[in-house]
Amino acid sequence: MSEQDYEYLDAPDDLSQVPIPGQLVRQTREQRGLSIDDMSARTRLTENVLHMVERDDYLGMGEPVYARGYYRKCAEALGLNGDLLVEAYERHSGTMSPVPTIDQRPSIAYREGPGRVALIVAIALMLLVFAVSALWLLDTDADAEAVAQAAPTPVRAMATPLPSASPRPLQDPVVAESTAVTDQATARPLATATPALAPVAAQATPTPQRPLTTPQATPAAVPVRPQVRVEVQGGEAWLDVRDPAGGKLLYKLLQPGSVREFSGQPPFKVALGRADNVRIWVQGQPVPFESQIENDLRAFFYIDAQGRVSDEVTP
Amino acid sequence: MINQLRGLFVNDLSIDLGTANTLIYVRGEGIVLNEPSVVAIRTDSRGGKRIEAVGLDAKRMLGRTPNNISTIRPMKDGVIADFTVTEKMLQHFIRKVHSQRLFRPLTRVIICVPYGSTQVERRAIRESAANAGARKVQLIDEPVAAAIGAGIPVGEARGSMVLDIGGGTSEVAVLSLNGIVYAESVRIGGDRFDEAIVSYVRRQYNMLIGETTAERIKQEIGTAFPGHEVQEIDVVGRHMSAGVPRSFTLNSNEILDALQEPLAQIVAACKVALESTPPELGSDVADRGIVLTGGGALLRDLDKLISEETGLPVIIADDPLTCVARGGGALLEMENEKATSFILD
Repeated sequence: MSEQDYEYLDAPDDLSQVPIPGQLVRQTREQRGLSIDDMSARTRLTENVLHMVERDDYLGMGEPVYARGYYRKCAEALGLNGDLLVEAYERHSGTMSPVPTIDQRPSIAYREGPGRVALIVAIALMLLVFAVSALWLLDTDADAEAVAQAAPTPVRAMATPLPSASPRPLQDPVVAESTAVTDQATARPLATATPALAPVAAQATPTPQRPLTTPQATPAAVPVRPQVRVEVQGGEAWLDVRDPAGGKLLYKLLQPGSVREFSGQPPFKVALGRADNVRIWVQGQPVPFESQIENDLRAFFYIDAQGRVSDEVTP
Repeated sequence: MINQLRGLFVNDLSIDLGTANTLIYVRGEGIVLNEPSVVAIRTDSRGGKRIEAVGLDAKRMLGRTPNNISTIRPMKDGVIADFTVTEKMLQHFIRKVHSQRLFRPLTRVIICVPYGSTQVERRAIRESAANAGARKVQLIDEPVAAAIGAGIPVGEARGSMVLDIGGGTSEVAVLSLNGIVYAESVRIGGDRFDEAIVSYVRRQYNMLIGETTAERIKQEIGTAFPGHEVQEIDVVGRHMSAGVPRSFTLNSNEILDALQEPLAQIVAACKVALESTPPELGSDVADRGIVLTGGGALLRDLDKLISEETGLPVIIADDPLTCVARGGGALLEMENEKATSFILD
């Protein structure tokens, strides 16, 4: 059996041109005058397997790994070309060669540390963190500046609820949280209003608890949605202000110097943490809630439309 | 469909972390890396160490380095000998095959470990792969991976025997119904063949040759069974007495003589496996034969030797070098439930 006998393997799709491997093994064995026993002795394959090989019993031979091995063994024993016999087997049985083509990746130089992409991502993240920190610092500075501008009067007003003299016009009936920018803008009128308010403050000093019943606190017509102003001074404070429906009007930990304004449906249910740092005004009138502050500096109370404080909801 | 979609976002690998070569199979792509497990390390004047090259580049340097560069093989006998260097080597190989790390994070890595490796050895491999970037590391026994990669039907209720001869270890296993019936690992492989050739040449010729030369001799004229044809090879080594390079000729029969000891141990392991196999499964093995995988299977006439010694047919798997990596890859492609039975704790 010469190499030329297998030339068909290079071209044809026509299976009839491809010799049947088992038949080829049997013919060659008989030509060489070998018995099945001789083959068995040469290949160590059992007679049963050899019969299956010669019958081309592909199913009986089992998985292709075994069948290929059997054909190679027979080819070796008979002096045939094992590769070509296996190829003939694959054509007839329809099995594919399992030998993979290794798609070797191009060589790259060894590099220590993270990849380029990881480095870019890390730098971008660092820049982002830096930008956020800078914005936060700016925000804090602006708040502190607003407080500093308003400081001359409000500092004295700590004892006397002076900032009542800085009523803000009712601009928006909806809840309006002021930002640092608006705080800065409002800080100036607050300061300019101070001299005029000083006498009022002085007058109010001896009886700080009284503003609740002062005529100033009872305007002729109480608005349906009074304007509420909250300031935090001296240290941070937790504020939770809700309307009767439970809607959160304010629910935040505020830093010292923060000012928030909002309006809503009274009575307001107020819960404060570090209540000693909090000042509240309703329609420009201070709300005296010092009596509500508990030993642990928390305070829970209700504020009605007139700015009166109570433990329970007043009808 | 779901697998195809999933493939867009994840990258699963199977790694045959061998003593001699590391192969990586990428899910959906096939084997994409086959490089020697060699690392070249440069030592600077202050004693600091820096990796100079990995894989093929490092292998080219093997035995040809100046004093400040050393080439090492971080894997020995199938397990990690140098944890840090193995980790760096794995990182490099994974980086090479897995370029889009940002959008396709490495999710699952299957690594083949020698049968009978200790918990400490397994943990070292697991941690090494995890540090190299793998989120989930799973280990499987090498003989199982070799059998699956060779195409042996391990799920059938029939005994199949596989002999995987790697660089550092040889594993023999009898499998049936997706499980190992008997397995044994002997710490003899291609490296021991090389060492045997080096010591034979030193003993017989009083010449010193390097491991690379020994490997070349083994590949070109190495044989495990006496044949009709005697091949020869010209080798240059350093004469131990004269201290100068000299050329001499070796033939295949001499190499056969040199390899007797390690080959005998592999054959002995096979015989022990056959003795320990239950008779029913042993009869299946006798009928179907032993399948040889691993780089050691490429040693000429090794199948004949084992066949003669055991009296059983021995079949060399197609492309035996990649069987373990292909087996791990087949597990990656399998459904999770099926693959779980092969995963080690």
